[in-house]
Amino acid sequence: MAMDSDSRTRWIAANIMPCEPEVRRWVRRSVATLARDECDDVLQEAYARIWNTEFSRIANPRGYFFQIVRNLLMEQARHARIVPMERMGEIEALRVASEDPGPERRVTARQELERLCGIAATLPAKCRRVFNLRSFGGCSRREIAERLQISERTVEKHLAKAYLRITEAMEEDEGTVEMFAVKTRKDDRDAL
Amino acid sequence: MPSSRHIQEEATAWMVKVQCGALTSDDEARLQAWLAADMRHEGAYVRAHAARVNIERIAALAGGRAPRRYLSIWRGPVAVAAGLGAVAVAVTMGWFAYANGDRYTSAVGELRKVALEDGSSIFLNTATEAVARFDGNERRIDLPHGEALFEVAKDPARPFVVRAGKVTVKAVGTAFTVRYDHDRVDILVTEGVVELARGEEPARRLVANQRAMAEADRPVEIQTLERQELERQLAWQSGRVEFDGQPLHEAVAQINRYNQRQIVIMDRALAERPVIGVFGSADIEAFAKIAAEALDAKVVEKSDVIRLEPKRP
Repeated sequence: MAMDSDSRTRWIAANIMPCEPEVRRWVRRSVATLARDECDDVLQEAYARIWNTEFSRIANPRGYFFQIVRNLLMEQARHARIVPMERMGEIEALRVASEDPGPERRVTARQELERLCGIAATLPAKCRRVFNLRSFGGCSRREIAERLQISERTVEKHLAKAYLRITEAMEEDEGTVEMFAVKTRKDDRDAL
Repeated sequence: MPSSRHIQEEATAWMVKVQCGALTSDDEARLQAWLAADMRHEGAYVRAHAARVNIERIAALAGGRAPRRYLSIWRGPVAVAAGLGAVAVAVTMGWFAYANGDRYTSAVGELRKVALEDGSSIFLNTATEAVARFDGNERRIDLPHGEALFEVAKDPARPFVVRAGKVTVKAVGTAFTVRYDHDRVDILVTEGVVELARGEEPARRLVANQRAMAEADRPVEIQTLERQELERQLAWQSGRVEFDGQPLHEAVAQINRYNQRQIVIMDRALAERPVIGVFGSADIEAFAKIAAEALDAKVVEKSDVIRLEPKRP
């Protein structure tokens, strides 16, 4: 049975995306020769592969995510003309982590919210205002444009920037993000 | 070959366009062509939408989305402050249009962080009310009761003024808390400098790490706090209360502020015993149990109150 794309997006958001920081750590740790950019490439492809899969066939989304990433790394290494010598060995040795993340890795809704607020606080002032009006104020693009006296096109740009920055911050470990958030917020204030 | 970061940027821009309902039929065709051009495009696009779904879900916890009609009827130079980040037990809206200001409230046991239009923020502690009235000359906040931390964005042209009873605290860009409880106002400066005034008395300056206590009919008292004491005073921001040898009755008064259900101490000597520790402010039952164990007392649970009694009267 096919889901509509809204439900499919929600399924990915709930089942795949929360595992992304873990997958990134796993790849970084295991394939030392892989550059950050290459890792991003592989993840983008992984999302496309998963998107084109029949979700009802995926019993264990987290394991499936790991597996897809491993396969992609293998394919990529086989097709690339120049691959660091040790790369194949590293990928061969890559085992899909099977253990559950464990309770201490799970974050509560409240922690997520604190984190989101922390990250939002690091956005440049205009960008943050646009994001807040949209996400917490439920304003339309036009309402935001009128309120802040900017064009609707600029609203889109600020929103895209905010989403991108927040997504990037969420890729990383929590600790890093929080330290970053505190630091930048101070800088931001000083700059005002 | 475009970098994955560049692809993610493009994907996010498309996602926003779609989400804002701003896609023309030309755009639609361009989007389809872009998605078909490279598998990574499609993946990045899916990822951008998934990220948005997650951000919306988390934002909804903050009391989320105001009803649209509020926003569209609001007029004036600084109309909306989005309710940002209730670190909350209750998920009520907590803010709505007020005569000619924006009113923010937190319920008992609730912490609520509010981002203001100018980039400043208010962090409301339990049972607090704050009303913001901003104009071209002044950013004014009235605090009818409760406690809040203000992080003030710099704007020399428009001072940020908090009023609690007869006391006003004026800042340009800094961070401080104000607590207003009956006849007493406590001010704690964590960053920068503020100017404190009461009634007709001459204004005085408070710097970081200083606390001022203004009690009715008594001179304002100013003290400089040790780092540790300062942190203890600010522990409420993370939903904790900290005690460092305060008598039990003070600790109980503190924790009672955060809870509907109240602790009552049944014995005078017990009330004077010192309490040390860090507690979740919302978990009054746990506090009672731990305090009782530490002080060799017993907990007697009644429906409306929790009694702390000595073991042998």
